[in-house]
Amino acid sequence: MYRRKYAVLLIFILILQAILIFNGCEKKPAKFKCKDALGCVDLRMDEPIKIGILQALSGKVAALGQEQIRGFELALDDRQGKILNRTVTFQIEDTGCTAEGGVNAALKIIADPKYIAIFGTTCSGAAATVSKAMSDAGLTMISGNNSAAFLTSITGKHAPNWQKGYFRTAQNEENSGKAAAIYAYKELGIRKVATINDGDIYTKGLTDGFNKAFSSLGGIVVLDTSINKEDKEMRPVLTAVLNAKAQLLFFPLFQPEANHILFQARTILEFNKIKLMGGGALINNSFLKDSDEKAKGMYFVGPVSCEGPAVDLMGKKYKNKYQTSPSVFYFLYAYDAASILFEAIEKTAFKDDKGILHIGRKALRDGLYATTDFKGISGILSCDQFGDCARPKFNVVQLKDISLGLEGLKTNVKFIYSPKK
Amino acid sequence: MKTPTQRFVFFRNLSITIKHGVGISLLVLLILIVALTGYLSLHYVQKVDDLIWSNTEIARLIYEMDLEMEKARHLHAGFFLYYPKIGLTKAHENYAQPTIRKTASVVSTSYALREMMSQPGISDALNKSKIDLNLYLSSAKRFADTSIIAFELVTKLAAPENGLEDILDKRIRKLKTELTDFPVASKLFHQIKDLINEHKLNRERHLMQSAFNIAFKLRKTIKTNPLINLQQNGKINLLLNQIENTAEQIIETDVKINAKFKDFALQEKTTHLISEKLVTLAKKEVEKAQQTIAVTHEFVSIVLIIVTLAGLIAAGIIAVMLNMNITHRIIRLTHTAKKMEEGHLDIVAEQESLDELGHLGRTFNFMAARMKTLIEDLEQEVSDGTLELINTNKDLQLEITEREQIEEQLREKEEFLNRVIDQSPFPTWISDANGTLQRTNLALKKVLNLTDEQLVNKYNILQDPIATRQGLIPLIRTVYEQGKSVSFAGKWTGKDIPSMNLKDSESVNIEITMFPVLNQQKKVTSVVLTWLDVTHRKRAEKEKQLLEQQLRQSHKMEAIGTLAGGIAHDFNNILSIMLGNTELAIDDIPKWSPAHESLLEIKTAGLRAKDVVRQLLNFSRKSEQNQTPQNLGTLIKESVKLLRSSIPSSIQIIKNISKENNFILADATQIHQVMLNLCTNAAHAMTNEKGTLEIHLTSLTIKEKQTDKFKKLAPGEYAKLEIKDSGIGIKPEVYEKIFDPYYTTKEFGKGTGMGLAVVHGIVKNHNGSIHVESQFEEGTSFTIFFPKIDQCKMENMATQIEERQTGTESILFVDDEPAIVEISLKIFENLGYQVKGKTNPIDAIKEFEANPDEFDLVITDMTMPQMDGVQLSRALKKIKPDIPIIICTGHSSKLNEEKAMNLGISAYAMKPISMMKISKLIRKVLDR
Repeated sequence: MYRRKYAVLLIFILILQAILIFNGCEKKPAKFKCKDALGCVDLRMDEPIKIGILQALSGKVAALGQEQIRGFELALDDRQGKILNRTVTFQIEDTGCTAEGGVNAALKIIADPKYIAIFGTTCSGAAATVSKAMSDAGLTMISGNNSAAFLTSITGKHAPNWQKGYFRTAQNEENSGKAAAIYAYKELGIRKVATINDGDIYTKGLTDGFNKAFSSLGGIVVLDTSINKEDKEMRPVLTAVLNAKAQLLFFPLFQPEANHILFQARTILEFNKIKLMGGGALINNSFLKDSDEKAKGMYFVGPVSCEGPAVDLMGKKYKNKYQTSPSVFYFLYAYDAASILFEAIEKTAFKDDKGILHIGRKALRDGLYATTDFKGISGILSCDQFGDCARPKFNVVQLKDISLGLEGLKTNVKFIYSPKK
Repeated sequence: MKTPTQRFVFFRNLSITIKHGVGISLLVLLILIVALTGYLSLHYVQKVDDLIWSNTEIARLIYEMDLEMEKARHLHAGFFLYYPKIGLTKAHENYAQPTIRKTASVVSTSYALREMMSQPGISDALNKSKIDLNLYLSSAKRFADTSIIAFELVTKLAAPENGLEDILDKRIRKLKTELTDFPVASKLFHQIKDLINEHKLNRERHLMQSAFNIAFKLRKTIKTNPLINLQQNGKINLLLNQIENTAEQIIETDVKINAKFKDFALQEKTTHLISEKLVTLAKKEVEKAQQTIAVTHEFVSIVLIIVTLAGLIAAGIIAVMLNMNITHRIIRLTHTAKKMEEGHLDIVAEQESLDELGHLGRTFNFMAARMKTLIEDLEQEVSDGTLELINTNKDLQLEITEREQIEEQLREKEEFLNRVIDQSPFPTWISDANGTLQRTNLALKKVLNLTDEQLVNKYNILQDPIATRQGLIPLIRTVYEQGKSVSFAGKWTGKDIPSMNLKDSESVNIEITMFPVLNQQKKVTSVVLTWLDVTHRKRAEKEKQLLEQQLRQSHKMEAIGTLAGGIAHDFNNILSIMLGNTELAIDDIPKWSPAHESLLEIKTAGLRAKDVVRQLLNFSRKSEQNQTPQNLGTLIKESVKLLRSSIPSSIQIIKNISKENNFILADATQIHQVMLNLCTNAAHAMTNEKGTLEIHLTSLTIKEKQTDKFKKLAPGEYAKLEIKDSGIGIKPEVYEKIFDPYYTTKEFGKGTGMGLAVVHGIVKNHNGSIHVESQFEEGTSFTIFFPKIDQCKMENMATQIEERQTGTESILFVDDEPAIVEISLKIFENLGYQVKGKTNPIDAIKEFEANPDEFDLVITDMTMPQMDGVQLSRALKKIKPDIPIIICTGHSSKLNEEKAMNLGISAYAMKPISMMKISKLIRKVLDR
């Protein structure tokens, strides 16, 4: 009787061992090992792809920031809100269009190691600090609005604020100032100019480019000065312009400082003889609406507007989604920026057997650097080693008829400049 | 239907060891389940506790981190606030460097926090917050970086000597020097300077731009000024360029510093939000963990209750099963065995089951059957022999019972006799025929204060030393030898029987009776002796004799008093007539007349006679008294003063008067009388007119317990007057007579024999007490106690001013003595009253009845032949109830104040009546 019991127990133990042995022999799936130099972002199946959005969402430039977000949303919509069948979540932070606002916003994104990229910024000043923080953290950043030459390259060399992993689909405005100078000297016959920037790398880049080109053409920059952001009292600087006997005042500023200069200049009789020229940041409905007749006759230098069926289609999508027309055409650059970013993620991400998505940080950067002839809404995009992806092409427009609005302004092109890349 | 026994037949058939094993195994299993549940719950709670600790620690670190960050910010702000005041170097030391240190501490705490949040067990929510912590860490680091840059920028701007602002100031001063001689340029210079200074305060760029614009004008001015040469012009322009250049740099630095401030603001916002979020999260986690603990406690409690209940039920079932299958069966088997032991060998034990108990049952049954057969055989043999034994035993039992009853009766009788002897109140002892004491009773032992051990067989009455000394032995022997009863009396002192603890002066009087106890041959076998203590009886008889003697003395004094009182009454009547007429005659006779002098002599003699009467009355205690509060000390001093002249100067008077309150209620005349009598007696006692007379007045308080010592005195305060002489003393045989009136030891004519009798009467009238102590030929001491009065009473009895009072009312005067009626009518008329006199009370009633309203007052004698004063008063009151009546009396014992009031009599007066007194009394009665 006892023997039978022992026999049953022995059989039970043997079966158990057999199960364990077979299980042990079963092939385990190969564990993914990240070989990316900057590390990988590993996302479980239930985890979304996270992208940080840093834009100027307060102050007079808020409209520009908002257009950027809308461009991003439209690009995502075209992918049904998903990349690699993963939902995309994005944390939106306001940079305040300042360097310090940018870097503080960037820290919020960088703090989470699951973020793979930053979409932004609106202002180049903010981008300078964000890009540094982002680059140090191994992230990738792409903007549809930054145009300051300092961020990528100047005269074919790394600009002072260039950072690895920084990309933009807005045009490098190194040649925007040059375009304005050529137009002023050659077309308008101006020989003495005054320029005003606000210390921001965007405005400074433009005035520097203008001054350099104008001087090289034989003109005299009688006044190259600055104002501070948030300055309201502009009469002293306008007096300096008068004292310098400038024929043209180039002030590629943002709102509201540009508005103050325009409005106060219109109160000084002597300024009737002085031509006024602003930058691309003022080519928007907000500025036109605020300045009204005061901006009449004013020149603006900026990137050439996008045209074509794709642009029209995107305009319709925009209108359908947001029930209004875009205030600037920069949302197209945002759309393209988001698109090439999404495509790069799709191309570089690796999904393992457990469904975990691995995105190499450096791989993503490389993927973007490798972008060539991407058919964007704003044009063909090819990203160079400095992160510039758009072909520069600028024009000078003049506001003749206020009633025609932004569209009237954009179409009243006085001069086009397309430098060789 | 199966019975429970049938239902568990399998279990019943198992061996007891297996049954116990199953039961204990089940119990062990239950204990293990309880233990496991407890362990798991404790383990879980411990884990949650750890989690709470971790979360609390996290919250603490966050607070610490945030606090440090806040301090860093404050220090940072302090740098910018105070560097203009305390200078850059100090500001660096006090603010900039601590800022960086604090920030480093924040970073360090952030790392510790991040490590803690990575620990296992920390919630997902907190774990995810590591992102926020990363941000906090980055912000802190950035704060440190930007702080350093900001400090550098400030240093660049404000450093002494090399700072931009100092450089600008220097250049401005140089420019000023250059332009001093040129008023227009100098004016412009001042405008520039003002604008730069304003910029310094407001940091607004347009101000500096305005300064540059003025500088532009200044350039033009100096350029056109012929007084300024080219060199000066160049120098001024250079200075202006330098100023503009420095100003631009200042503006640029300002912009950068401003940007840093904005940066700080954003960092603060970020970190603040994060710390708030983290703290909230940690708190929530702690709360969550606490809730988990509470739920776990509840769950574990429920589980433990369920398991315990299940365990109890299972234990109960096991117990029942074991009880039914083992215990009960053993008990039944034991019962069966007991029955068998008692002889019930027909009983059958359970033997159905196959276990050990079943086997035991079968064995029992077999044994019972065998034993039954053997016993039956044995019983038959024994029963025959037993019957005979029982009969013999019964006879013996009867005999024993009878003997026991007789013994019991004897014992009872003996006990009764013993009780009679023991409980007898008379001390009793019994001796044998030789006189040796054999037995005592309790009363004897109590009296002698001895025990049986000290008496029995140790005392022989025929050898008793006291009996021998008192010559009683022959009498006692007759009891032993002749068998006669004898009685005799004896007196024992403490020396005779020391064990009785009598005092030396004490003795006991006893009467002893002895009688023999004879046997049938009339021979003395024992002698009984009883005592009777007659000490108290003897003492009582002696006291009775003494009291009878005192009573006789009292009756004698009373009889003498009555006699004296009667004589006094008659004397008073005579004296009243004499003195009344004498007073009237004195009023009528002019003073120059020789008859006036004679009348005064008569009056004096009358008054002296009145004193004699008063003495008699004092002795008989029936004299009129006028007791008022008196200082006894003063009275004694007055008396001594008077006596001094009458007592020979060879007798020394020693006076010792206490100064304390010596007020007594007294008649001063009587007190003087006492002093006079006692001191005169004392002086007479000192026959050779030499010696000492001591007069002491002291106070004495007699308490309740002392009343025996001072006989007949109530407790209270007393004045003690002691008069002591060194005279011949009083012989013991005359002690009892000294207070008798007219008793004297003096020669005829030297004393009346009334002195001490009067003293005795006066003292008694004053509620006092007199005592005498004397040693023949050594001296005598009289001690008198007078009750004191207190101050309050004394004031109420203040002396009144004597004044003759008159009236016009109508008076009816009644007295059986016509002379008194006559003199009284004259006295009352002199006082202004209308008076009618009557010598017969019946006439008086008629007169009154005829005109009751004519009279306002009736004055009547007490003792009259027809009817006394009281009877007359009653008759008059019937006619006119409200008529006031005054009764005059010589000594009558029929009336006193209380009695008079009870009879409705308004007042009474003692004869002889003085005009002064009666006038006051009449007025007093009529004025009521």
